[in-house]
Amino acid sequence: MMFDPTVEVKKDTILAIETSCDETAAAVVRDGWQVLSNVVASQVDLHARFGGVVPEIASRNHLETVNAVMAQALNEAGVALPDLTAVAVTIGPGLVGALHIGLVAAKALAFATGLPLVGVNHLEGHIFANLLQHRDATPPFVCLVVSGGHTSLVHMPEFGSYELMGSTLDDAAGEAFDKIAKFLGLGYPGGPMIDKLAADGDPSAIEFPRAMMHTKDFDFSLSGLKTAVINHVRKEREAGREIDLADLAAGFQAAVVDVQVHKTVEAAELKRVDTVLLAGGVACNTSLRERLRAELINRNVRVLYPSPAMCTDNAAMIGAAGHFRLWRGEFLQLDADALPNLQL
Amino acid sequence: MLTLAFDTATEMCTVALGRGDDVLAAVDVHSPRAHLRRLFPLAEQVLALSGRAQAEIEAIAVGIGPGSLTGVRIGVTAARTLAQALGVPCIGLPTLDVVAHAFSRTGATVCVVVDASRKEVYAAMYECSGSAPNRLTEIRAMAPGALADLLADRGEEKILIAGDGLVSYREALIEPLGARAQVASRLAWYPRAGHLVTLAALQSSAVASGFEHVRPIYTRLSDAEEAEKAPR
Repeated sequence: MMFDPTVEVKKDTILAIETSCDETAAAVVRDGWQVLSNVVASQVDLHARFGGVVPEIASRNHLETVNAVMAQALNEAGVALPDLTAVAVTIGPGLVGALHIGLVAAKALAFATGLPLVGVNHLEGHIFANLLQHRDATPPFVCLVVSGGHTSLVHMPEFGSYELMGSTLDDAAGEAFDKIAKFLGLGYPGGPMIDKLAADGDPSAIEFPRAMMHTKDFDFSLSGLKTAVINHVRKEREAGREIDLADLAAGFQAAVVDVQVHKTVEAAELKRVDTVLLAGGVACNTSLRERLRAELINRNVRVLYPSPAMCTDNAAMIGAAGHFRLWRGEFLQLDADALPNLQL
Repeated sequence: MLTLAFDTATEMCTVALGRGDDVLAAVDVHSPRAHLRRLFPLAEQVLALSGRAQAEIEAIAVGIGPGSLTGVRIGVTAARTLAQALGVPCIGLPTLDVVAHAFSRTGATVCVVVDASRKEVYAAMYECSGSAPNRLTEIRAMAPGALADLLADRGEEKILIAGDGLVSYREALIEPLGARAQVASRLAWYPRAGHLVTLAALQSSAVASGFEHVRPIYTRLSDAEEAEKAPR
């Protein structure tokens, strides 16, 4: 039987836990789409001065925070442990030490209460974040998964079935934003800063390379662009010229977005889908959203993306994907390991 | 109080269920880098072996390190969450104290050394004449050679050395002490959760029991923070 989230085949109340990177998150999700609570404790301030996530600091803080975050999620949802159907937890991909904390906490809850445990792929969670807000969406989809750790085009012929069409050969999109922001001294995380700056800049003022734009595949490369931006800045500084940060941000962002939009449109056409899903933290980027929508609207392809709070790491999306895995009868045993390199 | 006790700070995944001095069931598995997979199945096993159910657990006791950073976090997160879910008190005790407790009532002066990686050990001294070990020093990370020099300065007393730091640093630790050094039997190099059950029972009235108070002992900051502090 096909999984169809619009038919409420299964009533459940899931406590979901997500600790794969630098957000400690827990949520209570009912029937796969009703978000009863969604608590995210961000560590971003702890990592900001290092210009990126420090794994050991992330692990330590997940431990300090996860119990209070779970308690708050249950409390805000007005739900007690005996009311739950299952516990869902991110098992990968992510930082191994960070994943451990969520997985141990979920196992401890399952051990103490006898609740079934469901393991969730973090990337599937990002994709399912779309279903929290667009319950009528049904596959086939093409998904552009763009975050600090991932940049992939994925064909999803049905729920739970993923064909990787292509991915970045070097830096992930979010990583490129972070590195450029760090180089320019804009702070961390870089995505929102560059997005905001770029809004006031001219994207064609500085022409940066569109790497792999015409390679006729669905792979990406972002490290050359990063180098081009850095070289441009050095050259301008050496020449004693003032750097227009807004134009620089707009030019860099346009180079990233151009390639992603171009390849996503090609992928949607190749797979003949009528819906494209944006997923991951970089799906917050306003230019990416608008450009993709503008390109696809003429082709009668709908573009869906989660609200910003559901784009960045959260546990509600893990609850949505956990509902699907629970429905499929896929349970995690107490001897399960974290899978830091898990693929879709 | 029926106590589920475990320590995952060293390569030994050790789990026990007991009440006071009575250990009902205990399982020790040498499982380097596999505690995440081992811990809960072993906890199920000690419950099954002693014919008890989760709901009967009245307290959680855990070794809070120092030791493997990952291992300590697995144990402490497990303990905190079990206490939270079961609504029972949680007691955290240093892993080195648990190792030392094997020698309680022997009158020995004990130095516990746990491998701290990076060519260091976590070390502490204990006086073991009472029912619980009396820790005489702070738990510190130091080079085995530096520890041996400290031990050599302690006059003429015999020192019993225990802990998994002996696996890599036996010679460096005992040579400077000569005949004053005694090496514990290998069985006593690792923490045993049975000892944790009895030690927790002795200390439970004195230790804050809310799980929020149970936190790992690291002794070091993260590398990134240590690098920040270091002079450039």
